[in-house]
Amino acid sequence: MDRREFLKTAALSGLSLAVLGCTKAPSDSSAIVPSTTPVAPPGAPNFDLTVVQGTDPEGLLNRGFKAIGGIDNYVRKNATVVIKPNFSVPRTPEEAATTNTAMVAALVKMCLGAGAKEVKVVDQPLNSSSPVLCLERTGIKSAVEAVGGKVITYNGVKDYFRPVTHNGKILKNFDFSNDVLDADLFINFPILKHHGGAKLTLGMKNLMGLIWDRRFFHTSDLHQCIADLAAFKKPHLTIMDAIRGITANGPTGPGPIREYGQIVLGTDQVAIDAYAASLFGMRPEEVGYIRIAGEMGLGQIQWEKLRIQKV
Amino acid sequence: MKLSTFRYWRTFVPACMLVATIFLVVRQTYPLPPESQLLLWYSRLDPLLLLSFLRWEGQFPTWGMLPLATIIITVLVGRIFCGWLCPVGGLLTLQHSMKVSVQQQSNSRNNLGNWTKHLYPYRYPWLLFLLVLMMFGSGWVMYLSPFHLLTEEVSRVLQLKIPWILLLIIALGMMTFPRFWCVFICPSGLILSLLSRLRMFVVKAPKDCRFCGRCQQVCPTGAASPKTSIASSDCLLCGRCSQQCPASSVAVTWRFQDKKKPMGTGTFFTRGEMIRMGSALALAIATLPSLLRPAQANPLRPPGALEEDEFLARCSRCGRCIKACPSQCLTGMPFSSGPALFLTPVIIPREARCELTQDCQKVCPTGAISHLPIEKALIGLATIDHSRCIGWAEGKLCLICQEQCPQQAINADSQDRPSVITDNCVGCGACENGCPVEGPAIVIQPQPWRRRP
Repeated sequence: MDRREFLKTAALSGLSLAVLGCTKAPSDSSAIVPSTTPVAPPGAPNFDLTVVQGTDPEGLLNRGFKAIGGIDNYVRKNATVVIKPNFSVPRTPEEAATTNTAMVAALVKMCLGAGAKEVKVVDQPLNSSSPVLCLERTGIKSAVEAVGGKVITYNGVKDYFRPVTHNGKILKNFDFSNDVLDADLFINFPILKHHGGAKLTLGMKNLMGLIWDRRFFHTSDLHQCIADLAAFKKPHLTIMDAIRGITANGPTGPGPIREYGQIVLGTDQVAIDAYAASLFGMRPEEVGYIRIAGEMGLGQIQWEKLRIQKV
Repeated sequence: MKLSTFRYWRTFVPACMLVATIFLVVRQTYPLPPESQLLLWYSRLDPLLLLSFLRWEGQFPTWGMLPLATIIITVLVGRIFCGWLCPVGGLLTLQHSMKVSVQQQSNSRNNLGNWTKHLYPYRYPWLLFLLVLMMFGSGWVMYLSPFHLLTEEVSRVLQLKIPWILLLIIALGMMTFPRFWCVFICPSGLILSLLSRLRMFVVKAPKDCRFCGRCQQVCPTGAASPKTSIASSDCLLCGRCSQQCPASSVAVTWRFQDKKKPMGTGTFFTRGEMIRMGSALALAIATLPSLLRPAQANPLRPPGALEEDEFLARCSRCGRCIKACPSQCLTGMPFSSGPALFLTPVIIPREARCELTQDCQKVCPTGAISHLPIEKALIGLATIDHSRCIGWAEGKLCLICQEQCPQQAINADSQDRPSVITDNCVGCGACENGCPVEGPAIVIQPQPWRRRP
């Protein structure tokens, strides 16, 4: 098999997988919001994911967006952009347990620069009684507000959510973030780090901050619920902060920090999680929700089949 | 020195003290601004706080010069602290000035208040009563002193609750004379009044006094009287008498120019006095049990809190820790928990967890919450009920407790079942707060010593 043939088969198998995925999703779904797979904008090269190496937050984003066709392809004029970073624990940026604060601010700035009407940065920190601590220690509030964005913590305010239905295996009726449901562009911006319960927290796990009742996930089946949720509302774009992250004592930390020196961008959140798990030193199938998401056909999890663009 | 010079200052300065105190109480909030520490230092002017520290720590505190300065200045010129620096005094000064401006006359004494003269013999027995309670372990006495009381009441207003004690103080002032509280109730004021009897400089009527009694009418404490040429030990040096005096004016003079001793109120060692003192002592002994720790009571206290008996003895119920707590995990205990525990800070993990920021330690004026590094502090210890924990009983992958724990005190075994690493657990309550089981399967158990060896 030569290279051309390999690419052909790869593309074909990818396509067939995608088709398979589409047929699996029943059209009579009663979901209020249809779980449409975002279509890569025209002009974007056809890769599962793009890896940008380096450590300068703003430079990484600039190079990353250039490689995926420019930010203008994602941010439309007057769009409402919602970014979901991970600032769920009260740690400083140096402690590497939250999405790189400078990079979140840089992304907000880029979105506004591309003509976005409003950029909301949202999360629901784990310590439900004092999200203010997370805002303070990560510095995310001041950094984002300084560039004109808005930071919202969902803790304890049910008005931020509305009931939705979904035909997940376990997840049927739950309350989901209004901001994300109403957004023109939804960017998931997780950090790659250790997680005691789920082994790793990545893109799909990061979406748990967008639902009201997280306890249900733990009391039913955590991994299945995460995969169900990932199928409910797929981010238009996922950017994985893998500059540095804790490799133990997660999710709260502090813990030993490993430098990966890269960010990963793409529209296939499952592929990004699978890639990030490999980066961490695990096989993607070892992480329950990645394996299930792969089985559900939500994205490509096979390391060998990932089409990676390196910048 | 003529006191009428202070005409405007005597309202302005105390009012500023009140406003500054209210501002500082409002600022006792996360993240603690640097100026929030000013309240701590300001509170240390109180000699009662020095007494409490001497009683419970047995040594002179590093900031001891501050209350000592108050004591020295009182021994020199009398209750200048009460008249010029005390924030509750500031409130009552404002009330007095408003009353004067509304009534268009400067009579501070209400006819309704005439009965108060019968209270003078009970002042020092009352002080004795309070001091006995304090020495034997009730922090409530400290609550009555201005800084603690005002902090608690201002926080109360900020929570849109009614500040009953402040209203009482104002009402008493309206019904009798403005500084009723300062003369009869405030323990710090009574101590200073006692010290003030020794003062070197006194406010004295002029030689050409016509006994018109205007000084008596305007005096906010009832210290001035035409019957005696020297103001009593309750004199605040506010100078209202001086302003009203039609003669050559009241002035501060060297006490020993005149052989008469300043007018005290009642003398010690008379039979009546001994009986009153004895009764006060008996009453204190009778009251004490209800103000001490109820048997078995051991609520979850802030990190660094002293062992319960001493905690109750030193906590002034000022509520600053509650105000400064970033997660609002501290709340004042309800009235139903009994007089001994009422208003003391408690953590109810199911409501909110302690974030271990130690801000409560930074704002506590009495030392009831000591400065203790988190690894030494022990709010309590988490214990898991295996029969109800869904990790143990149902084999589920839950581990919220581990996810929430900021101290890495929860270990998960190969089957994702949690267990507590007691050496790491501080008892912050994150696990109990997050546990998805109704009537949580992981609970913080209070520990008697509240600290690690």
